[in-house]
Amino acid sequence: MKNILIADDDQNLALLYEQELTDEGYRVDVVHDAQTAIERIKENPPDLLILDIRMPGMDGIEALNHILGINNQLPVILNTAYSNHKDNYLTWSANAYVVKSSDLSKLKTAINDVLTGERS
Amino acid sequence: MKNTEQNLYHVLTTQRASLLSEWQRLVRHTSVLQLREDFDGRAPDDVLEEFFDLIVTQITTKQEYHLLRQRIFSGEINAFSPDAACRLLIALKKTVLKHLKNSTHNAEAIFDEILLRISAYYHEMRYRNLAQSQSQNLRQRNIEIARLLAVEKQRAAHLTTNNRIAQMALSTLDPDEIFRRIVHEVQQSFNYQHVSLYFVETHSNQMIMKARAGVYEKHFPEGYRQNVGEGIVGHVVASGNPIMANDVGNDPRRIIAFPQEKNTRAELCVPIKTADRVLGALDVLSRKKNGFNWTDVQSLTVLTDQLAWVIHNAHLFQETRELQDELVQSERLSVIGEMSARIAHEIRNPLATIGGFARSLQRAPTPDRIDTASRIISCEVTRLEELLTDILNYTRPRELELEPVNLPDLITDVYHQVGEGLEDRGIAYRQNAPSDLPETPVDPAQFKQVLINVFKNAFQAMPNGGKLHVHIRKKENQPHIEIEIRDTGPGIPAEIQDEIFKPYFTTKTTGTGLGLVISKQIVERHGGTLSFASHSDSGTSIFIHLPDPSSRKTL
Ligand SMILES: Nc1ncnc2c1ncn2[C@@H]1O[C@H](COP(=O)(O)OP(=O)(O)OP(=O)(O)O)[C@@H](O)[C@H]1O
Ligand SMILES: [Mg+2]
Repeated sequence: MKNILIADDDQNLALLYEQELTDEGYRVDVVHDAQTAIERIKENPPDLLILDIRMPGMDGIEALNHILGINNQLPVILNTAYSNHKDNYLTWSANAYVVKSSDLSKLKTAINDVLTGERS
Repeated sequence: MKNTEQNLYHVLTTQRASLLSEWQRLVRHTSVLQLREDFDGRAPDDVLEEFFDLIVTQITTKQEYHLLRQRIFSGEINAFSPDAACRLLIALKKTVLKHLKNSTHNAEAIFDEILLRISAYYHEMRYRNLAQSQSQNLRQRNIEIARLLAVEKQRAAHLTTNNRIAQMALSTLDPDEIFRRIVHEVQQSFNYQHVSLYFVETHSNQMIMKARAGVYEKHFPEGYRQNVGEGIVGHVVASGNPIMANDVGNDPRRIIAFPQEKNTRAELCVPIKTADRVLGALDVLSRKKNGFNWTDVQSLTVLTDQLAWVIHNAHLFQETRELQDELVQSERLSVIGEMSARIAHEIRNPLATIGGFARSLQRAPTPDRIDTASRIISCEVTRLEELLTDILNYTRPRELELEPVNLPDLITDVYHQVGEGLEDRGIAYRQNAPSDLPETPVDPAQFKQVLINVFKNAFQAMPNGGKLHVHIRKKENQPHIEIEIRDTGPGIPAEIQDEIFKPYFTTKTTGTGLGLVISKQIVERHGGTLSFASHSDSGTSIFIHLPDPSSRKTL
């Protein structure tokens, strides 16, 4: 079973992800800020990180650089409400960039792609 | 590995110039589609082709790809500009796609996406640089103009001769008004038959009458024009020298604009000029033959010298105003940009949550899911409704619809509404009010909005619980009712205390930063005030003062 770590400060949305991804057969862990995400990755690296960009304290883009510094093999999906971050080239080092939507199929496809891509 | 990087580095630096010009050619295509086509691999340009090939031969493992990616983005290989880094990334991705995934994935789509991002990034960078340098330019020119204006003003102050006119020029900066007043002043103080002021319009080589005063005021049509070189004024403007025609009736240069002008027997015209240019002329008329002498010429010349700088100032003024408008406009645009980003964020999160839970219910409506989902959905809908109210209230305040209200009841209602679902957060609520509190006239809907905002802030300040106390007071000999809403959160840091009433100021990631601004607006429209006190160790108090109805009986 693959482990997914979700970092999103929006608690209700994080709950939705947790429920949906658990249904998909993943083991899901949720944190609400970047700092905690980094600690969690150091202790116990997941198979995939889903990272929100706009969070209190350290934002997702900054966190991404930290995290890739710790473990550059860790697949990361950026998931945010605001599509314009796409233009920030710092976000391009993520494996995927998914704009938040009530339809989680894009996110699920991205997760699947990234996880199976890792296997090869 | 080291070698790979060195090779790459070498390749990149030697090819950077040609790549850059190539890239510039590419980004000149404004259409993304075009850009995509250019890249789509059917006929790639020689340089890029070569470049890609080189990369392809350099990187063969995923490990290498990751390391390189890492080093590019950490800025370690900082010989790359962001665009070089982007290009490299494209090449890398391409390699990875080719070599590592055996194209089981939709490689083209991924590639398209990258190109899309790059082109978006480029457009934004270009736009940003442009906007930045423009606004910098504007600012600089503004400063320069302000400096010039100051110098001119000073100069004006020093010119004590004719200082009434100098003062006039300073007291109003509207150029047309200045000219009108000067002409009237001259006509009256020297008692001339008629005075006109002409400006040269360079592109048409004509002179336009800007202002006039005296007996012919009604006869000259609005915007009367004459060619440079024709008539007395035309000659003055053409030569830059004054003309005193003391027998104008017999002067061959004269042009008669309308029959009554025959009553004029003498004409004196003085140019308005700077060191290098004739800007116009001041023309005065007399009904007496030999009506002018050299004293007239001298005093009018002093005047036209001043007029020259008034005009100069007027131009600067005009220019400054236009620049300021532009500046304001561009700042407004950036505020709108910031605001729409925030609002987009504020709307998309709840929408995604609501829709997501609704979908999950559709798929598997188990009892516990219905419970969570319905709770969360209604909570997120409230969030959206509040957002909408905030934005509307801020941009388009509603008229007040006052009615007498029992404040303690209203406050309790709102507390329960906002605090719903938060019981388990460990917040202790207490409320007290004097027993003789009169009903207070407020707009219930709008005043509720104020309380919602203040309560929400208090809850958000105490994520781990605390005390929330509402005191309603009516102090003797004070004309207002005070509502104090006090929390035991961290208080408001001194460095942001000046900011919190500014629109869009927020320290939260979910918030528009409009809450307090709107609340203050609403309370003030009720004739009251909203203020705060922050006790760094014991939380924040928000004070709302409303006019006491019992002390307004006289109204
Ligand atoms: N009770 C409070 N305790 C501590 N800080 C506060 C309190 N109330 C307001 N603030 C500070 O003032 C800022 C502005 O508040 P305001 O209500 O205008 O906007 P917001 O709460 O950030 O966003 P919104 O109200 O739109 O959700 C807040 O971001 C917060 O930093
Ligand atoms: Mg608020």
